Amino acid sequence: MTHDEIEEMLGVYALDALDQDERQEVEDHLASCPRCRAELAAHRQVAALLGNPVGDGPAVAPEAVWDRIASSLQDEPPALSPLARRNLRWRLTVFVPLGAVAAGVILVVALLAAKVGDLNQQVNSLRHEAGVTSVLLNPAHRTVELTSAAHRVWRATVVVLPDGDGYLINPSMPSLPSSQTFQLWALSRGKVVSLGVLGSQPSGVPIRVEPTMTLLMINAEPLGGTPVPTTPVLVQGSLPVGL
Amino acid sequence: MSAGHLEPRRLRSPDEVQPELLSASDANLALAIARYREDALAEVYRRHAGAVFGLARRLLHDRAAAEEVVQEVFVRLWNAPDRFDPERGTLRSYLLAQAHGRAVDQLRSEEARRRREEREARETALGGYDLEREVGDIIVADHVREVLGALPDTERRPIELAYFLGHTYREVAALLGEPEGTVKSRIRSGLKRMHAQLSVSGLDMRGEQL
Repeated sequence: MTHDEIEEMLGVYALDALDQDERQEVEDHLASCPRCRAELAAHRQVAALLGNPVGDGPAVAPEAVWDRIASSLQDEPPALSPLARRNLRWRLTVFVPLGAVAAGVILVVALLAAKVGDLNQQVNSLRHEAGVTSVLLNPAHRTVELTSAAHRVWRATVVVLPDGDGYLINPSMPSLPSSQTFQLWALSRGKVVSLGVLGSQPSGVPIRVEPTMTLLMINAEPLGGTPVPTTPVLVQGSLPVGL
Repeated sequence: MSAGHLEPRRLRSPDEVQPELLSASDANLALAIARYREDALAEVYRRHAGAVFGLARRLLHDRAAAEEVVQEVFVRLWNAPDRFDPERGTLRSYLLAQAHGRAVDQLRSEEARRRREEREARETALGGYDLEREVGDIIVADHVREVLGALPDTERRPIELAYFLGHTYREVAALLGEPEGTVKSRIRSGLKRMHAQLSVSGLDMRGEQL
């Protein structure tokens, strides 16, 4: 479809009144057209006003729904950093022994029948193992060692593909009190940005690096992480140029 | 099997929200959510879940289905907070757009569609499709209603059929007996006209009112 044809659809798109296939076409175009994005934003504002309930008092969402949301968050796979969450694609190449993964899952199911609560995390870590394996099997992957000048035993490895998707593996890090988590940081254009919290045992955690990033660092922060680093860096390593 | 996982972030009740978040802007709350602050999600829920629920219930006429939409919308905000772009509008309008999309998807599910078509066929047989009655109980703010009401019928009706009843523009065209292309451009021009009117009338289009 041409720009003009897409433009003509922005109103119905804003009202969710397109069929699925047309919706996709509009979305593809929006990704590359600031003018259409701006027009759509205006349509969305009007739609939101139409949808904003008033009169007999604003509806109150039931407390029970919040409880469901709050408990479902803990069943989600580990949260990734916002960057990783946006772009992480599953990378099960033909090299990955899918059958073995499936068998592993079955084994885990059998072993953990009594610990159903752990199951999601276990299955998830298996998937991450498959992801790590696929990165390692890809000849284009690069390896970055994060080390500490003060403590030789502290280290971690980042394996990353040219498009920026990667994993943190083989950590050898100090143990943390339960009130703390490791957090991953990057130096990007002279600024330190958070790549997300890693938990206390950050093995196989998916990460995503951007081309502007030159240095990776890990430190310990209070649970939940912080917007800016508040404690010294534990390990760090430079990213290769042109990654 | 040594793969790590993130520490669970437990927060049982929105009452546990940290005081500084209570006065945070929506944009900062979204940022805090991206940093895994569950209490920030709780605060966003406190501010906007009522509106999200209200819209979903109005579209779906079903409390349980509307609750499901609320849950989906907020879990999605947690999982993909970066999809909200504060430059493009308020958090509330983003959440309402998400809710509308989810609710409309439900309306268009096969079963729901079949029931609705049966009902509409019955009503049409009984003396004409009564759009006015269908959308008559819609409650929008007075000034928005005024601006909507001031549109030419040819623009207002397709907007109402699409937005409030969740019809696709093709369905709208069939219902109104108009060509599809005409419906498309009338919806677009109607929305533009409303935007201009609402801006002129000094309405804060970014309004963050709770």
